[in-house]
Amino acid sequence: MSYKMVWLRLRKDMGALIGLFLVIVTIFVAIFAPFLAPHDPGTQSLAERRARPSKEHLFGQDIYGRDMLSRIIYGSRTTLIAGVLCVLMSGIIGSFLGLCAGYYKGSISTIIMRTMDLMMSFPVFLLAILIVSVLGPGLVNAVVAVAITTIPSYARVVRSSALTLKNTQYVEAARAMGASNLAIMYDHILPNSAASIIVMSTTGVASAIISTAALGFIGLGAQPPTAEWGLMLNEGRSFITSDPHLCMIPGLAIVLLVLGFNLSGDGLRDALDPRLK
Amino acid sequence: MRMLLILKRVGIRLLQTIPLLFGVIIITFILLSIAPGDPAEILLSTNATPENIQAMRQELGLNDPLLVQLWNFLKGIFTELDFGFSYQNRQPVITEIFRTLPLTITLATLGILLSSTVGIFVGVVSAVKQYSFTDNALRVLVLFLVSMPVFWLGLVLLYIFASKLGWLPSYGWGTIEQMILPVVTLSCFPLASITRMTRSNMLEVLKQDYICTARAKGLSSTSVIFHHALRNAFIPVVTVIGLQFTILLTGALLCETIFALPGLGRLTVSAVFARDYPIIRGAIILASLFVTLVNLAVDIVYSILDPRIIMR
Repeated sequence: MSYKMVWLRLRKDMGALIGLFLVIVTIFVAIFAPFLAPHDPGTQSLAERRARPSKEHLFGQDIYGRDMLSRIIYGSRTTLIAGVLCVLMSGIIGSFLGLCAGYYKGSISTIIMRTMDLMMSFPVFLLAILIVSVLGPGLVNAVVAVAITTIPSYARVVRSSALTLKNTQYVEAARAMGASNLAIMYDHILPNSAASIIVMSTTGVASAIISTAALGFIGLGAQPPTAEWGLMLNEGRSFITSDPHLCMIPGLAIVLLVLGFNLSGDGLRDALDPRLK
Repeated sequence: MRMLLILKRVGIRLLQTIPLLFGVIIITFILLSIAPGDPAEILLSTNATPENIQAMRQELGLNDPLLVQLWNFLKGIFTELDFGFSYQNRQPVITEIFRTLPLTITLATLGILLSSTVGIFVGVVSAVKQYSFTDNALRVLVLFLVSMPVFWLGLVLLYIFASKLGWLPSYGWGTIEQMILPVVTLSCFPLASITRMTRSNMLEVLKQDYICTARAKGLSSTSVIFHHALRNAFIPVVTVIGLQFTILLTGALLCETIFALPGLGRLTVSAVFARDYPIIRGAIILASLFVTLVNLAVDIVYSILDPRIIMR
């Protein structure tokens, strides 16, 4: 299906447009963070710690008196990169494994799928905690951990579409013309599974953002003084009663971005494959 | 005959589950064994001499080859439920886990009960009144709930109901008032998925011919909706509820952090910071066992609800 068709359908979907708008605004903010941020996100001002929002500091100041608005702006970089990296890693590895498991019969398929089953018998978040406790707390390790835990879902989806696609006539034709297995997988099966991979990745970014922020929130993800939304929530958590803005603002930022990805994902799913609705 | 088939299916699924559980135990053990930090050093105070550390390593069996350690660990688990002891307070891991597990299970169970009753009800209403104002409003609300991280929702509810209004306590566990906030926080995400699933399945089923027949027979709409439609829409919903249980465990972990509840999640997280590997190991193994059993139970319910599945 052409990109134009997808765009035509997407354009009629109000929810998807709102979602895309939220995502594009965040990407814009992340790219131009140094120009948009009114203050340096790391400059402390202990005399003004936990100051309420004011004209000078629109979102107030955090527990060390740093400007919250600037930290939210710079935090969009951390959060976006973390979410997208997670999905790239798990999407590429998962799709590759799924392709192999679906295309090849016999032991390769069995080994891959049993490994995926094994990974799925761990409660997802506890598996992430296990990986982080081995690698040590930190943003990069948290991203790796979340990426590993989501590999099986990509593998399963791609495998099931590879299983149906490998029996189609065009694959048979390609094989008759002497195309190698790798070429068939790359040229025919992968592009035809693309729709489901794209949809999964879009909503996948949303859940990856939530998971990395959750790890940041319990102290196992991004470490101070990084500007990361989950960590910001964690830092403001003890002051929820007296200074709610410390938690409300980063939380809202997470919700809006996640909502944006979820809305775009739902819209894309309907636009790419109306049958899935 | 049908009973036999169900039993056979349960048997097969159990046989498939056992190797997976072994896998979970082995992977958890090996990963935590190669984790940085010498347990003997963590256990002893900072002024321990190298000899003390050596002696402790010997006592813990850390000088044995990894495979021997693994064998001893497996033997310990299966002969006397011995998961080792906590580095923090020297209590057996199993005691620590059984002390904290009931809270987490209660929290998760109440959460799933609340979210499935409300979710199925809301989903049915939404489907029956498709595209009405109620339906649209509910769909927007559901979308917001899906995008809201548990840890933030918990903080918001805590701020509104405990700090501002003062209606509910902000921490503790035991009285009903104390349980409301954590359970409601935990229910929101599963509630959203269950509502979505119920709505789309109900919409699918309501289009079927037999619903038309039932209506044509003159049955009341309540009877058609609940007796004919919901029963058939229910099967995929059960799977979703089962899947939500794993997610709920994650949620419970975060809820315990927010509301300062002494559950399995808090135990695990504090163990990670203290590098208390035996506790992490035990918690992950038992939680995986729990999740696997829930999935097995879902599968059984599934095959009782839908006889077609066993025939496959």
